[in-house]
Amino acid sequence: MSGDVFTALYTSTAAAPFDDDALAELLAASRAANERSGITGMLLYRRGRFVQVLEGAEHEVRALLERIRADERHGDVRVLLDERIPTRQFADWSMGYQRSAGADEAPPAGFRDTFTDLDDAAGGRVVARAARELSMWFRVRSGQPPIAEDA
Amino acid sequence: MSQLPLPLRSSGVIWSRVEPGFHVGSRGGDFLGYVERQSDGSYRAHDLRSQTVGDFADLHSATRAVEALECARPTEGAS
Ligand SMILES: Cc1cc2nc3c(=O)[nH]c(=O)nc-3n(C[C@H](O)[C@H](O)[C@H](O)COP(=O)(O)O)c2cc1C
Repeated sequence: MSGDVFTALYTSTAAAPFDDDALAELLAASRAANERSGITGMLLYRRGRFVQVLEGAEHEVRALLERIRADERHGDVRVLLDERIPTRQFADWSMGYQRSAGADEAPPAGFRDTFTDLDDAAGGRVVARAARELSMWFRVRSGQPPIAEDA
Repeated sequence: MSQLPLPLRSSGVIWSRVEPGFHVGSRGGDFLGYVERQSDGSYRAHDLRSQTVGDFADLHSATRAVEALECARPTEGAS
C-alpha cells in the first residue's frame, strides 16, 4: 500500500483563544468526520496557534484542507508541507491531541527550537525536519515509538 | 557556556528542542533518537524504538549517548 498516503501539515492562528471546551468540541466533531473519511492526524494548540497534520487519501486530505481554510475560527492558514508518505504516522488517531508545555524558556545552548524551525521562511528541509520532530514528540507522548515503520 | 547557539555540531548531528525537556537528534535528515528529561531532573536517552540507551545527570551526556548509537550501529540489512 506504499505511496497512497498523502499528508499535509499546516499552521494557523485562532481568531479568538480556544478554551478547553472549544477544543474538546472541535476535536469531537473532527474525529467523527475523520473516521468517516479515513483521515488520521494530530492537532496541537499552543499560544493561540494551531499546528495540524492530516493523513489519508489525497483527495480526502485536499478536500478537508479546503473546508479548514474556510473555517472562520482561525486564519492565516499556511500549508507548510504536503507529500506522499509510505506509512501513516498517526494511524491510531482519528485526530490526536497533545497539550504542549510550550514554555517561553529558550532552548538549551546548541539546540534548535522546533517551533521556530516550523516557521522558517526558507521552508524546505528545515520545515520538513521540524514537522518530523513534532510527529516524533507526539508519538512518544502518546506512548508509541517515535517513528512508525513501514509495515 | 557558549554564547551563540551552535545548531550544527562537529558530528553533523542537529539537536532540536520540541518542548522543554524533549530533545530530538538527527543527522542529514535521518533521526537518531531522543532525550527526555525525567521528573528527577536526570536525562534519559532513547533510540528510535524508544529503548532506553542510558540515564545521565546532564543533557549533554545524554545527547552524546544518542550520537554514539549511530556510530555503533552497523548498516542494517533490509528489515
Ligand atoms: C484548527 C482546526 C482544525 C480542524 N480539523 C478538522 C479535522 O481534522 N476534521 C474535520 O472534519 N474538520 C476539522 N475542522 C473543522 C472544519 O474546518 C469544518 O468546520 C468541518 O470540516 C465542517 O465543514 P462544513 O461545515 O463545511 O461541513 C477543523 C477546524 C479548525 C479550526
